[in-house]
Amino acid sequence: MRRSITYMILAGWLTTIHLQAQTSLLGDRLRDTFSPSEKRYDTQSMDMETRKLRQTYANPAFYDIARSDSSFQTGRYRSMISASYSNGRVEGDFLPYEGNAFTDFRLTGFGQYSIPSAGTLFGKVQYARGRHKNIGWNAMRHPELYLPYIATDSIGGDFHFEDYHVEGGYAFSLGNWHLGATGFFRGEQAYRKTDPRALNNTTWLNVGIGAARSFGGHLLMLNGSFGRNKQHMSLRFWRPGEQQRFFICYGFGLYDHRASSIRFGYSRMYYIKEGSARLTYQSPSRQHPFVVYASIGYEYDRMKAEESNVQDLYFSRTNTFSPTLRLDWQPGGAWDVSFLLESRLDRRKGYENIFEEYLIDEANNIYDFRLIDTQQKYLYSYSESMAQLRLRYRPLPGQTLSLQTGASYFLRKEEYRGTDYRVKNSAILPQARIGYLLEKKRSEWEWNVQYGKRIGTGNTYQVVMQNQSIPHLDFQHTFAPYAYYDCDYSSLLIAATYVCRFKRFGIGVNLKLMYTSGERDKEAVYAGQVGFASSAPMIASSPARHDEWWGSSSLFFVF
Amino acid sequence: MPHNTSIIFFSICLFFLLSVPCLSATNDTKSTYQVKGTVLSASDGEPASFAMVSIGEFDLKTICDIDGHFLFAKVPAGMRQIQVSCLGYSPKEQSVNVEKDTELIIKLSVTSVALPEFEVMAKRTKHDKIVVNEAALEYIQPTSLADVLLLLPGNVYKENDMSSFGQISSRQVGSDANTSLGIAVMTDGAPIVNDGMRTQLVGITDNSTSYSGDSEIRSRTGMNQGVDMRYISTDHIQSVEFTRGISSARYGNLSSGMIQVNSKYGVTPLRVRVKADLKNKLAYVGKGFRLSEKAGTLHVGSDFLHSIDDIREEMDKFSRITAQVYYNNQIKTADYQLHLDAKLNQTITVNKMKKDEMTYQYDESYKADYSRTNLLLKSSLTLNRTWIDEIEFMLSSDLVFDKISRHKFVITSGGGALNMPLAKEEGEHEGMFLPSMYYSDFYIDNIPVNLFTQLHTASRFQLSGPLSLHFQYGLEYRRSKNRGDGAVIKDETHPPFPQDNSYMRPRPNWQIPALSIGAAYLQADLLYGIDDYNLFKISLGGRATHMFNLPDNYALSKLVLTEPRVNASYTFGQGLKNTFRIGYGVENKLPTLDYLYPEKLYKDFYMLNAFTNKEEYRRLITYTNIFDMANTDIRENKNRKIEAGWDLEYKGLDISVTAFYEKTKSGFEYFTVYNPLTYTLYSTVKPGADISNRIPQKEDYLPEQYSLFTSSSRVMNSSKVIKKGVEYRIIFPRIAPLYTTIELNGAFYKTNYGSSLPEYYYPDKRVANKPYPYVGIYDTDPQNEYRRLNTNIWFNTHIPKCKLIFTNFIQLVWIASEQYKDSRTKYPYAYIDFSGTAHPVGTSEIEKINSDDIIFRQLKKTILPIGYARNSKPVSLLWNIKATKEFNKYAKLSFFVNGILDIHPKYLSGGKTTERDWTDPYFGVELFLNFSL
Repeated sequence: MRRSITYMILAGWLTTIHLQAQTSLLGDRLRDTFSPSEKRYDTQSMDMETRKLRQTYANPAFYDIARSDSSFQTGRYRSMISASYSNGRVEGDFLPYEGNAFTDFRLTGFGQYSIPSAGTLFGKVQYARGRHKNIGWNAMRHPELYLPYIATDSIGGDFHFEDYHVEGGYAFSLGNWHLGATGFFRGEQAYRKTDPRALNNTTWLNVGIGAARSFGGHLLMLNGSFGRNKQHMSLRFWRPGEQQRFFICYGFGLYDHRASSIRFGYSRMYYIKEGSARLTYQSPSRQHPFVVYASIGYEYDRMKAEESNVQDLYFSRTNTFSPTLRLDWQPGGAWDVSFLLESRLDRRKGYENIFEEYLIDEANNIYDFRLIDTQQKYLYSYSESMAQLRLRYRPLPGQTLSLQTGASYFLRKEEYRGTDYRVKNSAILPQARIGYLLEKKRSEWEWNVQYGKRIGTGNTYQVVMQNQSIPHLDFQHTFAPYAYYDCDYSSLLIAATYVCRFKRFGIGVNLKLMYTSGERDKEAVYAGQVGFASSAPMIASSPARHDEWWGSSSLFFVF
Repeated sequence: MPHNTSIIFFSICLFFLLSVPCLSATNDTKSTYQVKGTVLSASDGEPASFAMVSIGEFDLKTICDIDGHFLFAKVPAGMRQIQVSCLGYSPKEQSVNVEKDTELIIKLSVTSVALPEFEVMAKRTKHDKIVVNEAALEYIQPTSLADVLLLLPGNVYKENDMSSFGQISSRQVGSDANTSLGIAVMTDGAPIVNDGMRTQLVGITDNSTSYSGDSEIRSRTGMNQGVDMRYISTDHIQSVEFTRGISSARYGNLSSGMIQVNSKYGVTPLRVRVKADLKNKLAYVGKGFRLSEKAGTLHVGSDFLHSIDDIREEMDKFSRITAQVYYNNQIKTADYQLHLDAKLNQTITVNKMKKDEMTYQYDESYKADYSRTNLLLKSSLTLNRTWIDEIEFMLSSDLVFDKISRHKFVITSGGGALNMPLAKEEGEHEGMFLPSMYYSDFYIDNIPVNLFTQLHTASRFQLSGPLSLHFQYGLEYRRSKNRGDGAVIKDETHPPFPQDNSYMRPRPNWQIPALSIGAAYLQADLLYGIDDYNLFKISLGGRATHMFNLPDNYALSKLVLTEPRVNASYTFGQGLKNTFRIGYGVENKLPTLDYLYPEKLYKDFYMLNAFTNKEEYRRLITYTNIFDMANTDIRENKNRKIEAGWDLEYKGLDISVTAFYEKTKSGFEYFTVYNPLTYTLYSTVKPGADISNRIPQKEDYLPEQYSLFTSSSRVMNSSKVIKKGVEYRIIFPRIAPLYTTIELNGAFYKTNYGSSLPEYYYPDKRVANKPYPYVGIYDTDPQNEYRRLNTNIWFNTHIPKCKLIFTNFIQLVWIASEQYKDSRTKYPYAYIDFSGTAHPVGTSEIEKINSDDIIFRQLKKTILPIGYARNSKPVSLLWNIKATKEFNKYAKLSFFVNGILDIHPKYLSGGKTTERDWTDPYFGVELFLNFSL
């Protein structure tokens, strides 16, 4: 593992000692995250342009704008085929429900095809496979979508996965309007080959529409989407006669005592319905030195789980706001300045259903269930906000040097009503980044280095289980995430891209690296008795390191 | 049909045949003309070598030569539709007005999504066959032939499973072994058979009474259930035809229809196909070569499939490699043309050691070796003579090596009694105790050598005016000889399935006589084309089949089986074209080698069982009973079919409705029979006898006459299946602004699975600590009834200029129910006692049954009303999508998601408990590369 990371750093350094290009934006915009480490890379990365492009291209009508207005075009290539390999590892504290070592390989194809009289057709196909290792106390895939309502065994292990993604859309003009429709399907089959063997089939289906119109150079865009996620998880012992308790969790270490029985296997279904909308404004960019970009997004999702006996034990509702403000000042010389304010605010409420079992047929002794009440107890809020300032300078034609600084603020809170359980983590992360782009006739080079330092600003852990007569999972499900986030660390991010241009196409390579080093707050210690102590992967109860490596290399063909 | 009726039927056919000379005397040669032509590639003008050219309504078919030339010597005058198909090209249909000898040039376009006529659905032919052509096959992205079945009306989506044998169903809800066995799968005219397989070993054989039978072997092998579709690669297939109604008399030894597979042949560019989905990873490469102008063409292809049904289960892995070489050529002289085909196909399975965590722990192993080599030689001589138009000779032979080896860990609960190994006579024997756990090594070896040969002749007569008469007649012979060792237990003192003291002493398969079947057939098609818009057609056909090489005591050895088949249709109308169809037929499936020659069953009961911790003082005496399980009265499975249909075509609207009724009451089935048995039991030690420090003797016990019923399974013609239903298919005209065609099809099926024999019921009770003394015989007619009404809707959006096809498939199941039914008779009409005597049940016995009589009251069969309740599911919906994008003819990228959305509402199962059916989406991607075009 360490050797492969060393090779990646060396390769990255060898690339970075040369220099950079904007072709990387296409790859970065299209890139999906396949591991928690990659997600953390994306969260920390101060790449302003990729953030903006992902937001604007989420509106399918923007494909038609980009086709018809050259000021919105980025890079010379519109289609890409790429192969990527990523590897990551966490040392010390980790989120047990995510695991601590990640590997994936992916093949991606993206293309867009414009018919002058008709519009633009675009699509993406991706196949990925990989492995997430040492997952403990969670048998779900993508648990962040369902937390705290996850199900688990007490053994854990490695999840292998295979992921298919297809996306397509169409954008066209109708009078002064730009309109578009898009849809994607993503399906993942994940499995564990050790007892209790897990098989999780997770799918996403999403359809979206978008509209945009320019009013005297002022661009207004609106898009909305509806999505559906479904996860079928099943666990079963292969070893004859072996049984175990499968926990149906409610957060804060609580679990359903009646439903979490000892059995040979267990399966359940999760459903999420989500809707989202985003309104975006951009002031005129041609001949205007000062450009304002503002966007506000809202997302709502409703998750419910269903047991094999068709009981819906609980459901949750999540509201997300994500405002963005960006100011670009381009005085016309060799330099420009950009300022970005961005935030994401999540709030999730959990609802628990109460069922009774009743005798439906006395003669044949058959029971069924019926819902008698619902109560709301669980609350979760999460926010990430950032402010960034970037100065770009072009010393020579084809060369761009950028300097960037900023800070982000992180806050996470969990509460359980009626019992006064509360957990809170907050931190600030000041960052600085330097980038260099060199564009030649036959090649492009891009190079970015970013450094940040995370400092905790306030952490609270107020969880004392009320019913002490039975063991709970508060250490595994509440303390472990709390301890993971209660830390200080330094992070270094490096990205480099090289593209060799031919007449109609280009071939390139992209490398990304992230290294984080830190440690848990010395006061974040679990002093109680760990309930259901097992061999499942888990953090230590006393403070440990907080280190993480992640690297990715891609070979791509653009045309 | 009674035997006399068959004779009358065959007399009619003979009359037709004998009347030919008279009819031919009136043959008006002016009413037919010669149609010849050349089939070329539209892109480069090169000939489309060996393209198939046909005039469907008259059953005329010919194959072009290597230069694309074809000739029909006798085409009835009038407006005719000429259909042309060739590998790599889009099929084309061209009208020609035949008023004189005509010459044509037909240009075919290379298959491409960019072509408006790119066809992705199954087509129905004039003979009510359903044909899936090359483009549709590519679009379906099949892993096995089973995937193609979804296109047939009435079928519902099912996830493919390559790890176990899957029964093929036809016009029914659910599936059954006899239907699956009775579906003939033909490749290029020759059947694929596995009737020569034989697996006789307790624990493996169907209905083995041992509860610890080896389900791993059974689920993977599918004995007596027909062709294993997993071994048929779809990559070598150019088109598939499905016949679910009454088959042509040319085809026999089938009872439930036919799947005809036509292999790829001819010249094609190098093609590569790579597919990945959740269960399967597949790669194919193939190319067709033009050897030289005289040497013909050679098409070669090979594929590799790796499949796993449940990815967590290592034992589920299935890997298959297939390769096929197809050679064809045509020799022409002024008077005749000889078409030659030769095909060599090889299928092997790899990944032989199937192990997982569990087998590693117990150090068990399971090894499956399979290899099938098939050689097909076919020659077709076109004479175009007055009496004979065409003679075809076909020889197909295949050699299968199928060996399953097992190293099995056996745990016996406390040690069971085992008869002396290889005791082959009934009576008393010294026994031995099995260890509490041991390893058993055995293998099942099948080496069937199958041969099929057929001489087929076609004669066409154009009678006066619009009347044509076509004859097809021929002879066929098929033979299957198994040269394998059969089931071999390496050490008979360590049996693999010892739990219920039932054993076989298997004979090697090579000692079993070969299956040998001869048949003659005749089919006469009378076509009466009143004008270009009115066509009446009647097909009368029959087969006579005899099984050779059977022992004289077998009922089938003395019989010639007849199968009359009739199809008639009348088509009328010009713009609004209607066709009415009706058919009746009998189809017979003959028993397999495994059914004909089962092994004797040895049942060993302990007479004296003195098991002590001191091994030297143990004693076991067993009583062996031998049951001959061979059923010499076994007959063919006879399936009678009736169907009627109506087809309508009007301005792109195509409606087809078919109602059918099928009944078989002679399906093969392992039927449980009860045999009374009495022997002396030594279980009570005589007062005063001390056997603690010596080997016990019989004299130490009080002898006791002990009676019981023992059960065994014998193959009988007892399975009854009744299929009724209506199938429908509607193709709407293309909606041009949306680039979309809509096809809707479905069926209502009602299927009853039951038994044609009385029900035997043995109460599982003991009376005064002795086995219950009677077996009741009931006339209950038990059956499980399934009903299903479904509609499948395809929305095919085809945008040629974007080279894009997008399919939405919506499946609606309106009705899905199951119900157990019987005559609700609670009382037996007879009962058997320990002497084997059957006693009728009269009023007095019924009174005893209704009383508190401790013995008779047990014979009252009571099923609670809930047992008869109909379990119905609410309306459900499933949505599948599929998209294909072509890039510059070089590549096609496809993606599919089955079950992208589903609606399965909650329902009360049996009206009591809430349930819901969960479905998981199934998805995958495929890349198809086409080089040099």
